[in-house]
Amino acid sequence: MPISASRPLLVCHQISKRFGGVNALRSVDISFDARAITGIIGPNGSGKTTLFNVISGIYPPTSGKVVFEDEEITQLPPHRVTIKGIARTFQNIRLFWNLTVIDHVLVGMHPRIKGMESVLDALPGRSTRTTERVSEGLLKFVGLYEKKNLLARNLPYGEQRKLEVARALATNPQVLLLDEPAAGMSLKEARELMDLFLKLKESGKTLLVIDHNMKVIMNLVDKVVVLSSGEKIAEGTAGEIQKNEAVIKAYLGEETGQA
Amino acid sequence: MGVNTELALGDRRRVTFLGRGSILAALLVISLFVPLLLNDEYYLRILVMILIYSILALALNLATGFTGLLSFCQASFAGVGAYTTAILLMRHGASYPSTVLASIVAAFIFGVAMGIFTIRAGGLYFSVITIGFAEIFRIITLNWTSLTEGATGMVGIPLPVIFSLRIKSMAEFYYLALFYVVFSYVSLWLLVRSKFGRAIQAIRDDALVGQTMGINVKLYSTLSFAIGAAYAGLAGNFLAVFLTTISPTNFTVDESMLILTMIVVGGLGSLEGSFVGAAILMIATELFRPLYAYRVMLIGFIMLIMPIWRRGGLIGVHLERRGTS
Repeated sequence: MPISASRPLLVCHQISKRFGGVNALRSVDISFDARAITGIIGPNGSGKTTLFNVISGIYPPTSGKVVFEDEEITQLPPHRVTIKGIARTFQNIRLFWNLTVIDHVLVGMHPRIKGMESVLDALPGRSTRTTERVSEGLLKFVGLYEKKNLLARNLPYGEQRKLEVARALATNPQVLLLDEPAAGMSLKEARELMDLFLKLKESGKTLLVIDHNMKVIMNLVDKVVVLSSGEKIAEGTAGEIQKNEAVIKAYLGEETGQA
Repeated sequence: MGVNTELALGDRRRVTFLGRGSILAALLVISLFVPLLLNDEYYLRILVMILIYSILALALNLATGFTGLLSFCQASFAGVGAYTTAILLMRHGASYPSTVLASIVAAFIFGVAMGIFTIRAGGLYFSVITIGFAEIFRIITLNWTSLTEGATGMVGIPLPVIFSLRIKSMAEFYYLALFYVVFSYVSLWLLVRSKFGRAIQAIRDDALVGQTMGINVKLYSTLSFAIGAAYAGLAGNFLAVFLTTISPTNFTVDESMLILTMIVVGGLGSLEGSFVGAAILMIATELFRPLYAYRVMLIGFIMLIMPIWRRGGLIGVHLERRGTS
């Protein structure tokens, strides 16, 4: 942890994003510390997913810049951002519907398979290959190993969400952007997933988690950032955020104390 | 591991691997003996055409079935290979093996050039541009007479000589075609199983997500399209020396539609399906030869019923598409 106590791993400087007349993000400044879990919350349309799209290179911001490990990555295309070490999952499950579970992880390992390995990898009987070992390890980690040869489209919903996470992890990211990873899951499934995220944090990953399920996220995060109408309205620990007047007004409406 | 439950839930790798391996091995053995048993020029000729169109279908399947690039100019790439071969053999006295390489490289370069400028257009726009390219290719081959002899076509392309071995009988052409087919199938099979193959299938299923997995979508799409073109160039090379006469009518959009129909019939994203589709369509074309003018109707009819009756093709797996945003 002392490595970057003073210098954050990922910084968003004055990020603005306009779509026509809509200001999806307005001069947002956030820094994300290494080896921490940051929660990003906010009502629908507050710009959470847009922020992820800007960081991951899908939308270039209208103004402002994204800095990762002291290097500006604002104008990089999405695949370059991933290779730098930032991976993401999607709010609506977006798997490769005609590929098997293990192939998803192997696709995620794409930038890591190089040189001779990319040739050997194609030969029959590939169980001895390192790629196979790594991918199977990841599937064991998320609990999908037994289903590795199934087509992703045949997995139940909760497991499809886990596969999203496994696929993103396969790129071996330093930073993982998780867009509502527990959406639609039962509370039990969601808790299992949160345990997984804690393990990832312990192993040295930096996590950004979007969620509107406050209950789930509050026990997990080191810091919470609150967006509303494209602006950052608060930042602090879970406890501080729960007492913050502006947040309660913007996010929870009049029903306080729900979280 | 409950194998049965896995089957029920759609485990396709293990099943198809065993089945596919033994069926293909048996087919290869049979096809090696065919010319010895079948002493009939006419039937052997049909088999040779099936083999060559299998290469065109396999290659189109790489771009269309595996990468999701709907292309209508596969025959034009064969044309690039065929004209390259004819010009080099007839005007420059090149050796046959060197024309094989030249055809592949020429078609690949055309594929790369097209890919660089058109892949970014994406989806339907890309498909329309491929039709445009096919028309431009037809008009150029028709009108640049000093290069292509125009509508008359290149007549009297010499027989291929491979290291002092002169290919002239139908059986010899058959074995040459079989060699090209085995080479194409094995190399494409390995390609599809590799990192490259997974990347293009990811692009087909969801290009944006593929990109966030670190895949350079433009590069891989362009390469896949160009590699498909390169194999078509190889098929074109064979067609030139096999038919000994080539003209612009051999490489029209109609011809590309025929190849596209083959992979729809056999199964998009199924290499083995390409053989099935090529065989069915070539045999149908022969049966309908007296009604040649109706061939296009036949293709239209097949294109109409396949997506309704059997969307995955005869032996392919139905590729699922879901809304992605």
